[in-house]
Amino acid sequence: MKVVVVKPERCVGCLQCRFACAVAHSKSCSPHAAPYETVLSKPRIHIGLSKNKDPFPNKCRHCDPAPCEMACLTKAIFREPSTGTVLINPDRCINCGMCAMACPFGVVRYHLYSNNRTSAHKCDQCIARQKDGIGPACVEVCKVGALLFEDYNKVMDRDTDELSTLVYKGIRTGDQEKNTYQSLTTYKHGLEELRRRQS
Amino acid sequence: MHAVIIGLSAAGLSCLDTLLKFSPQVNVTAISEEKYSPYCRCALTHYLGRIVREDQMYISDVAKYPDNVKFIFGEKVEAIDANRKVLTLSGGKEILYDKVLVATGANAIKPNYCDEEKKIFTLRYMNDAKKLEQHVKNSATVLGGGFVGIKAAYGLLERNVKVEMIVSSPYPLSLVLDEKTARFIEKEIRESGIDMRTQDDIAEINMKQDRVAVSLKSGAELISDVVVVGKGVKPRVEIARKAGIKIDLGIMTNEFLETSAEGVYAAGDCCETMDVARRVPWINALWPVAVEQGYFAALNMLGGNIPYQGSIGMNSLKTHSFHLISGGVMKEGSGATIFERHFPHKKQFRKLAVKDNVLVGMAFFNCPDDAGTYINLIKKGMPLNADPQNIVDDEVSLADLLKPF
Amino acid sequence: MSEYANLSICKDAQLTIRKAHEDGVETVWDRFKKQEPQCGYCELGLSCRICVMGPCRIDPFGEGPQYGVCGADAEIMVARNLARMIAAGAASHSDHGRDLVEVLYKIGHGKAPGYSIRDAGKLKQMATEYGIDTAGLDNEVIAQLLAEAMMEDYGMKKEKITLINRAPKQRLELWEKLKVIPRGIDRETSETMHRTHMGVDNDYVSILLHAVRNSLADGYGGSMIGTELSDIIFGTPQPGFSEVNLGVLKEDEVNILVHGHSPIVSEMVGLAVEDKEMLELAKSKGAKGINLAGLCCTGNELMMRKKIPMAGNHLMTELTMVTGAVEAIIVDYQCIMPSLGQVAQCYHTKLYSTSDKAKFPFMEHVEFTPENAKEQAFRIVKESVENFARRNKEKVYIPTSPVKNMTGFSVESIVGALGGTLTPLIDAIKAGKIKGAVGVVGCNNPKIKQDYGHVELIKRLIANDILVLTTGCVNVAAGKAGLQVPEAKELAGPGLKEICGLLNIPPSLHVGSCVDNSRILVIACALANAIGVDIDKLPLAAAAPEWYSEKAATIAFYAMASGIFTVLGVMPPIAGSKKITELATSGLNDVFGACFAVEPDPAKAAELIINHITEKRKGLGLNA
Repeated sequence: MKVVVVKPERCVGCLQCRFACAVAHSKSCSPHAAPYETVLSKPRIHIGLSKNKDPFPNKCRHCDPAPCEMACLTKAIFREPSTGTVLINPDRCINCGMCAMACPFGVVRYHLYSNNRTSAHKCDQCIARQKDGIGPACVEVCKVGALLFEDYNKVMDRDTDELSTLVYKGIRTGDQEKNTYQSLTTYKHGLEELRRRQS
Repeated sequence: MHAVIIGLSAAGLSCLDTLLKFSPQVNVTAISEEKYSPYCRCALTHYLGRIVREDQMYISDVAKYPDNVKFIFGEKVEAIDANRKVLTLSGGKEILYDKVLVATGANAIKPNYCDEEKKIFTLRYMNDAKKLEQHVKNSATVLGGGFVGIKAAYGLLERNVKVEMIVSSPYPLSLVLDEKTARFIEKEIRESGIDMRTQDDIAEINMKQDRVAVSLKSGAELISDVVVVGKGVKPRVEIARKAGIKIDLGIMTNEFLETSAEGVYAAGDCCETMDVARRVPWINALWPVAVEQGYFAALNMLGGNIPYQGSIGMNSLKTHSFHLISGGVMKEGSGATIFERHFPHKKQFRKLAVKDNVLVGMAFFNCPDDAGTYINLIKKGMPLNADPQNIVDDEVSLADLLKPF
Repeated sequence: MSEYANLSICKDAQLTIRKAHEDGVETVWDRFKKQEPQCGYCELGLSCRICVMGPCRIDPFGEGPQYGVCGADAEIMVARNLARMIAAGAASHSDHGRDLVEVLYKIGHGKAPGYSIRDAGKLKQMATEYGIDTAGLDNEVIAQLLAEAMMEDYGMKKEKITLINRAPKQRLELWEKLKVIPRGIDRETSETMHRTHMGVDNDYVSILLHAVRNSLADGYGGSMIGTELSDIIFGTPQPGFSEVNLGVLKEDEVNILVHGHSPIVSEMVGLAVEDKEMLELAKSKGAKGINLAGLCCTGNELMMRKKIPMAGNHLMTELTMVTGAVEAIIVDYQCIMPSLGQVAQCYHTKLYSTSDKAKFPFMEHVEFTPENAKEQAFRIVKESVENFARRNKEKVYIPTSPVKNMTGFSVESIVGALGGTLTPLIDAIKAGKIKGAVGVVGCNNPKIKQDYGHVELIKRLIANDILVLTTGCVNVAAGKAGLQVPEAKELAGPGLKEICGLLNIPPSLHVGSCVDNSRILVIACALANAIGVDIDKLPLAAAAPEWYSEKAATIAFYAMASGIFTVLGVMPPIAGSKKITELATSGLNDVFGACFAVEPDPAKAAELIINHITEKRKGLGLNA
């Protein structure tokens, strides 16, 4: 199953993904016309700001089981079987707010839809674009590779390979004297350092 | 394997769907005493408010289920024989089971003044809503300041009905919220056009011509078309009690949602499970909690042995003018350290209750964006990875919370 | 081939892009693809990097920030960005003009060997226009005085630049009222930079009006001076024939290309390639001769005056080297892609930069001044001829044959062709034989299929009896499509066909380089004065179907400010401000009598223009 994989350490906070998401979900799909539509399209990916001013891309993970789907009172939230995408049917949504309460990642918002009702709103993995054979808009526009649309297992395999390369490079260049990798953060900084030296 | 589900509301339906998800060929019999297709009772107030039509209330198309699922509507289960593994229906019919789920839910508590002849209704079942609809014209009195009372009041307000709420506590939601948070809600309710009398209660109720006259202990008299009573719910444990299954606050369950009788499971408003925030067994009679319990019950009925971590109380109250999300234990006197921040220019209020570095309660008023994250942290019972003051100051994002320890 | 056919309508481009890919060379189209999708905020003009309280962006969807850190709203952000574009364009054209003023000055002082006054008549005319009494003065002295007077136009000594007076008096009155009469060429650019600094001008109308003033300082200032002085120093163009497209490169000759803008460099190179000794050297290396060809505006200048052929326009510049037949490209400034050096690495082409204002990766810098230009030109050409030996004859690929192109239509030669006055043209317009005139100008842009916007527009306009004047890259586009030869009259409507047949001119006239858009201004002013109305009443329009540069934005501004409806094929970064977009596409009509339209489809753009011209004709009481 293809999923959008987020690598937050690469995010530079340019917010292009938000822009592209809003345009992709507008009626006109044109950057010049979308801001002038009567019902403004809203982005479904959110960039949080950490205390260190690091940007953090946050979007629906299409969990299975999905807490939002479980919490939805009218079964407006459902899973689309062929892609596994969790979608919201705005016509059934009664704007009760339970999905926001249930979502562990805080990705649900409430906006006016074209049916003139305020309803729950979240990433739909650009399912319309997928049916046309193209991937999500946020992935397309990300220039730094912080958002990828790939088979999840392939991404994990690649990360494993990357990790092993760096670990062995670290061992061979004699870094084993240092107290290796007390925490994930130190480890991550170590990876970055090795990567830098490698290139 | 033949699984039987008693009750087709949140827990029962969730159990049914999960059984089929993980074992599509399993034989299931689903029994509901109501003649209606499964519906969501929480949306009854939206139905009253005409935001939702009746057909939108139904959440499951019974016709779409495969042949291995059998539905029985309009029949009540009278007894369970846990030794012989047999159920008896009201007509005398017996059904054999391998595993059974008791998802009988709860009934609305009807104080002694409740009398449908006098147009005094609780609001729990579709029939209640339909009767209310018939009788309400342009005024209603709501008894009870809990979530049901408030949602009913807003639903009726949506129908342009003049609503007056009678709350016995000094402020609404007093069983769930601390005073400070509750006062924000009280202000909103009053500003919406709903009248509210606090620290008052019913003395007696009489009929005056076609209308209901409620006399209050304070001496005031309120005349309206109908009275809606929201004074809590009582779990329906009768068949479990008769079967000799252990009952406390509700039907007692272990971490696999199995009752004291082997092969008998319970989920939803009728049973008690561990409350993660209170750290004691409790009933959190809420729709999403019931759905989750039905899910775990199904996994375990299929032999999964997957422990359910427990529930917390939580609720989302969203109206045209405000959105409150609260969960866990917020009341004063729980021994937790409180962190709070009010943003008057944004009309936002954020409050957390922390005990031993674990989040035990939260109330977010008008800031729903990250509320779910903290609800789930309470549910997990995990230590907090960020300074709670920073959290209520809205300076923390998922980036900080997902950092390793 | 279809993927290449999507990039350009020109066969020479399609075939050489394919070869470039086979040779492993990255082209402008490849780099464009990698950039897509481009930044939405910047496309809308809603990003600002003017100060380091930023960088800021405004969210057009209402969720994110609505103001920059300084408090700038969408209007201010878009206006400041647009004004800076205008300033950059005006600065470029005006600096080009400035270099010519410097050469004129040095000619006057005898310090510019190789340069001379070729059109003394024009010299005297211009001097008179500048208030200099030329009676009894030598040309050298007039040159000095004229150069000094023009230097004053660049500074702050004057209340208005001299050549603005060429505009009709109604237009001048309008500009006076709006306070957009340019006072000094450099002054206006400098003031734009001042106004757009954080915390100076924060009223979008005020910013944009000054931007108009800045653009007029270019159109009637820097560019016009550039055109007039180039005519004086290098000769006023007269009609004649030349050729366009990659086929102008010769398999058996040394090929030297000049690229950039200023005839100061290219004319000297032109001298060097005709030198007998140089030709002998070439023959000794096995070449039959030395073939000089031009790219972009300096190519336009050489073509107009000396009928030197042009190998291509903006998007063709990299592809010339891909033919494997180019010994050297000599560049000065503007529109020279920094990628040329990369491309040259794969072939034997030597690259030379000549202006200290414009240095490039992998180019040898040979500084040209008016004093040493001739000497440097000879040196470079000699090296280029010697480079012929490194050409790999097997790998030479010149995929097409050149196309004939008629050129040299300066205002003077147009008037000359009409018999000495504009009257025949005016009569033809009145009679409806020619419905109106449109300047189709500007560049190439990989956002539009190369030359498609230009050619399709011109075809439709001439089919509707509208005379077309081309400058810049459009000349090459129209030329390659065979629209700029007298035979092209067959593609014109009946009225235009008749006139072209009578005068033996094409329906699309090459008027020059991009600074020569000032020639179109001169014609517009002259027509307006002759008929006695303001320019905005005339059946004229302008179009830049494939523009890319800031210079083009400035040209569009001064055309609009002069009262000429301008259609752009590429969206400028203004859509982030509703107010500015509305102003640009309709509000300006009430202010300047003209506005802009954005239409990438040349068929629709043609309709807009044709309807506009019909309306203007009605306004003058002429039949449609």
